[in-house]
Amino acid sequence: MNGSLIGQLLVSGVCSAFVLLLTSLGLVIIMGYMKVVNLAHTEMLMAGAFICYYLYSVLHIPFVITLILAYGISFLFGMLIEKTVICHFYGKMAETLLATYAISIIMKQLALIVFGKSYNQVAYPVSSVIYLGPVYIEAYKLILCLISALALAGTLIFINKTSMGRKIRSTTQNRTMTDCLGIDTRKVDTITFSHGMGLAGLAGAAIAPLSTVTYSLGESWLTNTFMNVVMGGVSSLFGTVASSFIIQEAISLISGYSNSVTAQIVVLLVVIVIVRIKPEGLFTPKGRR
Amino acid sequence: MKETKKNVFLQKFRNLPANRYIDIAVLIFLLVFPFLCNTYWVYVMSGIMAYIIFALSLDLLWGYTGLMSMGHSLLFGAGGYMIGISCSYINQADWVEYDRLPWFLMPLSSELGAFIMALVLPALISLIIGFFMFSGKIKGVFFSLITLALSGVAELFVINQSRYTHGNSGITVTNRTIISHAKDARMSDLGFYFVILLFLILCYAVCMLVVHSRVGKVLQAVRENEERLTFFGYKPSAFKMLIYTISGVMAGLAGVLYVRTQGSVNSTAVGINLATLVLVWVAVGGRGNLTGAIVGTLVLQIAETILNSVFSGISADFAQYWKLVLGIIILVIVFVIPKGIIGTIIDVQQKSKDRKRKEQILANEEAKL
Repeated sequence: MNGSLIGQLLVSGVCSAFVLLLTSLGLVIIMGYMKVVNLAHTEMLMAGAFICYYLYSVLHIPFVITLILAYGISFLFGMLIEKTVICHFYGKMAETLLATYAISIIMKQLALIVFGKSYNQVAYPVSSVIYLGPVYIEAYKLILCLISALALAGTLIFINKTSMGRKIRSTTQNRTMTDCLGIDTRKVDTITFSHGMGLAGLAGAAIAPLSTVTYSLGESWLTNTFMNVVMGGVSSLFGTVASSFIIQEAISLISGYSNSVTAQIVVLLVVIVIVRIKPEGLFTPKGRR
Repeated sequence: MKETKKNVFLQKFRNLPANRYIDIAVLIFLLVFPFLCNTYWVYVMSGIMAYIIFALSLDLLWGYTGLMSMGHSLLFGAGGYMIGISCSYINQADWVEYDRLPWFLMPLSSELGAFIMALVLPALISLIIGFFMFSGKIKGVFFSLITLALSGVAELFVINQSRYTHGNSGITVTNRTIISHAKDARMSDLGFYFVILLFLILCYAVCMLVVHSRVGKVLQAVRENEERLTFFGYKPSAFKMLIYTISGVMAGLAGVLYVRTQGSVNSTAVGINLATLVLVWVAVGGRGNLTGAIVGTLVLQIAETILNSVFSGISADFAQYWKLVLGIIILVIVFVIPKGIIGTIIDVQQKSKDRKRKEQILANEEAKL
């Protein structure tokens, strides 16, 4: 194995890491701030990809506006789901899992019935390829990295700097006290959940050009996103960033030597061992909570 | 003297919880069933009974211990594939590519070895996963997510290792016996039905034994309050590993029986799809009382088979509508009767019993006054 191939694998690993970060961001936020495991997350990715296909490829709306619209539509959809289903099951783990599982099945089957088994292709918004010596990168992947970084930065600013973010954090820390201060925690929950779903929709729209848009798109992301959450933990976004990089670099390097399925199996087993040693995730704030 | 003995027995029978009556009814139904129906239904019912064993194994884990495994089909498929690989190895034509199995699959070259391997491998898998997950402080949700991920990866793995597993199309198992692989060894549908029924009764007995033993009580304590159990000096992780292993062996057995009766094994047997189905069966029937798993599986699988035969003339894509209906059923169950059908029946019976007792006590008090 020569140096340029390893370089290529590492670079594509970095790109995939940003993609994984983008796709699991919404999941981590909903899980970390609301203690709700959203199994419908990956189906929201699928829905986002379909939104991207119809807005960008069929209606020819500019890509940036498509992304914003995808976020908006998913946000509204998340609001609907939260108001009708999720809000009844706070604090009940098994029930939430089952309910979100049911939603994911319903979403997937509806997509299958409405869109059929067709495979749709979304063209790259930017099709050029950048060469760095022997290593090449598709320009769109760089843009994806940018989108991912922007989504992360936006979420961090939203959570840490705005007054809504302060309400979200205080609701997580002490719901009763927050209620006593006259803050409508129900509304806060709705916004948190919708933001998570919105990010999922945004991620789905952003990854649509990379993969074929079909009803089973969500399934292919299931393993990686949940592995990422399990390894990174939910108490800090920094853990998610780190675990995205570790997982994707490992997968990318191992699949260079054998194939991608072996890579996934090896990484999943390693994650199980790591979780044995650090059950709360990679980076847990010490002394707090 | 004889009279009183009979009375005591009747009294005991009357005091049984409602779900035991349902168990007996189901048993009678299963015993009579093959004589009332044609061979097709006997064949379908054999598959359903194998699924019931699978659902029972999940109920031990989820209902009694509170460990919601979302990838239980991993263990089911591990058992099934051992039989499949062994069968295709023994019955292979001379020109087939592989004449040697890897060293850890060597037991599969004998018939009995395959059966034992089909029970040992799921046990080993669950023991290893259990060791890493339960001896650390992994909470319930993470267990669910990791098992879900494992099941997803296992499906990819099985498709990928097509040299042994024949990829997506799966392995055909031509002979219908428990142990023998010989090509002409083929039990009748009716005979095999009763063999599976025997295994089902055996598994049910094992479940009852586990649940009503001291171990079973500790397992329920794990579900209710793990921290307090630790303070009593118990080690929850050991009990969790034990029940996960028992459940794994049962799931493996269910896989063996299912593959034998249906005559093939393919990648859906390890996938997320089947893992979803079994969760739905147990959730609909009600968890934590064995009967729920049995009734849920029976009702949903029979409903699917009947609806399938009705609608297959109208629409070729019945399966996708059925899955949609399943999703809606879960939502309704979670909203309306979170304890499942049988759980709700037991609750109602318990409430009426309590009310009667209260009335009796009040009447006694009044009589005293």
